[in-house]
Amino acid sequence: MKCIHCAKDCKYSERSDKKCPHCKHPFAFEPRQGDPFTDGVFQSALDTISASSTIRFGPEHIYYEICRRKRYRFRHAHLYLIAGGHFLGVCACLLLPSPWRWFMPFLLLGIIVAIAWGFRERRLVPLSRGEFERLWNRWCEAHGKPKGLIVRKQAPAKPVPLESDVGDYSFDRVVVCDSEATVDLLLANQFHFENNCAVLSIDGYPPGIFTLVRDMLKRNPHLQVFVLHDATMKGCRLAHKLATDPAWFGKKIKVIDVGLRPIHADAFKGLWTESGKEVQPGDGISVSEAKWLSAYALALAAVRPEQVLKRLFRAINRQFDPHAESSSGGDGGNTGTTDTASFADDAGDTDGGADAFG
Amino acid sequence: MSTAHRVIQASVGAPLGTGTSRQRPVGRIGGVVCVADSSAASNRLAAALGPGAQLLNSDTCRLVVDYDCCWRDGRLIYSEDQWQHVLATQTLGNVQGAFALASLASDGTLTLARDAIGERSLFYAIVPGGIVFASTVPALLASELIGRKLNRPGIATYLVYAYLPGRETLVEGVYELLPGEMIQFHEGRSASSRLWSLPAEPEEWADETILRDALRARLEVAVRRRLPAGERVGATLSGGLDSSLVVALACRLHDAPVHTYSISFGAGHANELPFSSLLAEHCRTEHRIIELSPTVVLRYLDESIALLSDPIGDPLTVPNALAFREASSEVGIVLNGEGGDPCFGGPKNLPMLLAELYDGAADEPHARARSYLRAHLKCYDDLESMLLPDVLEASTLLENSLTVHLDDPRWRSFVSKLQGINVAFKGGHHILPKVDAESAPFGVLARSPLFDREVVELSFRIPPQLKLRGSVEKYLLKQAVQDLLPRAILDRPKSGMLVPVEGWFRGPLRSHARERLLDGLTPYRLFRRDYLERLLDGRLGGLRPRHGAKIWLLVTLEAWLRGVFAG
Repeated sequence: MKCIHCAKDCKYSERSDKKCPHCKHPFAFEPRQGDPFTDGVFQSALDTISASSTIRFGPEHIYYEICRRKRYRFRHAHLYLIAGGHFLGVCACLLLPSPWRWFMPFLLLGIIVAIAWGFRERRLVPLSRGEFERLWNRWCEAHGKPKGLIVRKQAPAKPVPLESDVGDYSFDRVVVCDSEATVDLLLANQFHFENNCAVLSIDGYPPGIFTLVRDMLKRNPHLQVFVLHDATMKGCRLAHKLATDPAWFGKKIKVIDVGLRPIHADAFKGLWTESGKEVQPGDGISVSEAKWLSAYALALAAVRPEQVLKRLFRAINRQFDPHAESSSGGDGGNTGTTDTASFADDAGDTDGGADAFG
Repeated sequence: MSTAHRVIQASVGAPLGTGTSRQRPVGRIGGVVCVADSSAASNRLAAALGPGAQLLNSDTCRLVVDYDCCWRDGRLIYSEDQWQHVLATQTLGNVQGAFALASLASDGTLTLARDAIGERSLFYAIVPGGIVFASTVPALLASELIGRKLNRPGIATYLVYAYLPGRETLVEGVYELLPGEMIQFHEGRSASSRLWSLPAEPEEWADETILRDALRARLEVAVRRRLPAGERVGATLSGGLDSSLVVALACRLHDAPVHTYSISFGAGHANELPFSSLLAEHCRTEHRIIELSPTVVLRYLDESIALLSDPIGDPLTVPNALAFREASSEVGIVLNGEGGDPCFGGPKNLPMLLAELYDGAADEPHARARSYLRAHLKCYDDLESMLLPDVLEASTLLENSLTVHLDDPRWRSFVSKLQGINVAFKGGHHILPKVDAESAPFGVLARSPLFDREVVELSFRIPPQLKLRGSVEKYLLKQAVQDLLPRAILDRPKSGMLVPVEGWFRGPLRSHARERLLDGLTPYRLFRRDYLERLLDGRLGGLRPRHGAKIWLLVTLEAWLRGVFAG
């Protein structure tokens, strides 16, 4: 197993104290003792979600990245095939004349093993939240918190005084999220700053400035509102809520749904969770969506942070493109527009899922 | 209603400034004071200052002034006698317009002064036995009185701002006078004083209508003062609000034809030509579209950068120089719209407000300074990965030095604070020195009416809420000129001049960039090679890596180090 600090390999017997024999850095995981992966695999997951240390991320992104990693496994059929190969080899050994008697069994076995190898199955590694938490704590203990991990800022003990004019202005657009973690993701990666765009959660986050920013936004009659959310009942109803809740922007403001919806879920098979809650159609959710949402949920954290940011950026720019693909969201009506393209295309490798395990 | 539109393909030809018969009425200034056997150094200095150079000396010439369009108490200054009078009456602080001045009093006191906004530049260095000063750093270096030692902490500053925003230059021991500053040297001591300072916010704001009318009147005066009576005048025209309003006012106020010049980078590259052509049509100017290929830009890159006293990593430096070259065959004065953004609520304010709301509220030290540095969209977040450890270590004061300016008590409002720092930094150290340097070789005078001192003063009397109305930028400026401009220009979103650096460095200029960065910068031991390779290969990663802009920044630095610093 390779040490992630000195990149030197060592044998199991050399790391009985769970430390690298060369640089003495501790290992977090030991697959020989039942851990599902090595430190190298975990580090590789961190490198992937941080886009080589250029994007900040939360622990939930690491969880999904680990879940997304696939392991090669042989099916039972492959084992039967290999056993059959052995049998044929033995027969060949008994029946064929020399020198074929010694050569053919190995040839047959080689061909069959190659076929089985080529058709082996790639499966997601199941990992419960609890198991991940345990492994995550061990990683932090051994290597510290990774660079780029989003750590929520402590709210100051008393409000920081801002200049008197700061609340007198407005912005052209806002992204409203269904979770605080998504707000943190956007802010930590300077999305607001780079795109001239306010970011709020539907539930009042960030707390110190939420009301001030929302009031500032209300001053712009041409405000563009983007909603970014999980594929859940709450998330899929977000655009509807913003358009109808008098506390928010009202129906005259354009709301564009750029979040995850059931239509995007196929690309993330294996990362769905059970919803366990009956969802009724209406209020921004169509009949088919209600059916899927009644059974499943899909967290936005399942999409790699870099992809979320780039897709959101693209979705915002699409609004200036007259040929952009969009459709009425959910049950139609005047509750907003769904930008179905943002999370629908290019959802293969770039969304994660093709990296080999180990 | 048709206007003469002509497309000019900028060609690869003679070096910049050769073949032009035009010469500025007043030349650059310089001098070597109290240095023994300085005649050879003085000669070298004069040669480097170019045609019409004015050299200070204790025998025949005790006052030198590089100036253009200067006014005092409503009267134009046009002679040395008037400048003598200004000095004698100690009213230099009342002079408006572009100037850099040096005088030697009978008691040996040397006075150096620079205009309020920074339209002319002046640099100096203390050398054994005396002082050497000049309008440009290349001229100072040519004197051979100064050691060519790189000011390494300045590298990080340049990488973050794309220019040097204060007194320091990239040459150790060479300093720049700040805009509106006067320094007096006497018997080995120096004393700095202010001729003019950016005004504080008033206690009470005037009414919107009064301010709008005052602004319009002030803009008209600023443009009128810069027009050459009875002669053709030129203007660069991007098609944005600022250059458009200057052209529109010039057309309304001038008694001779107005020529406008726009830049294009060829078909297939985004440009603002529909807007500039619309305005040219609207104002009936003699319009020229100067088309630049990457080959032409590369050809004149080194020469354009060698004109600069400090590197300015703005991709418009070469296009600016080539626009002045083309304009010089038709006009001697070229107006521009520089200054509208910093003075009237341009596009940097909204991102800074967002950063203030989200990051400032967290009460982190230097949060505001960090946002301001990041807002330049250059290399602030890359410093750690791009600089070698010793260079990085020397650059830890960036945020500290900025906090003083951001907490300036003259301004209570956040947007006014930004305005103050933008005018002082960007106006006097980037925009104005750049247009001055790039226009000079062609004998052209570049004039910036929106940086007129009284326009700037008035801009500080406008409440920030009328500069940024909701999310509408430059609201009052638009109101003041709305009768002059087509609605399409008043309502268009800000785009900035689009220089296709990303495409150039992925395509035709790729190998040149590679050579300049990997070979040219290596001897200076500033950058980590792995960063440079990732940058050149487009592998920096991140949300918006801006490879092209960063490569341009480094290509400019390399060209400046080779062409100016190394000589």
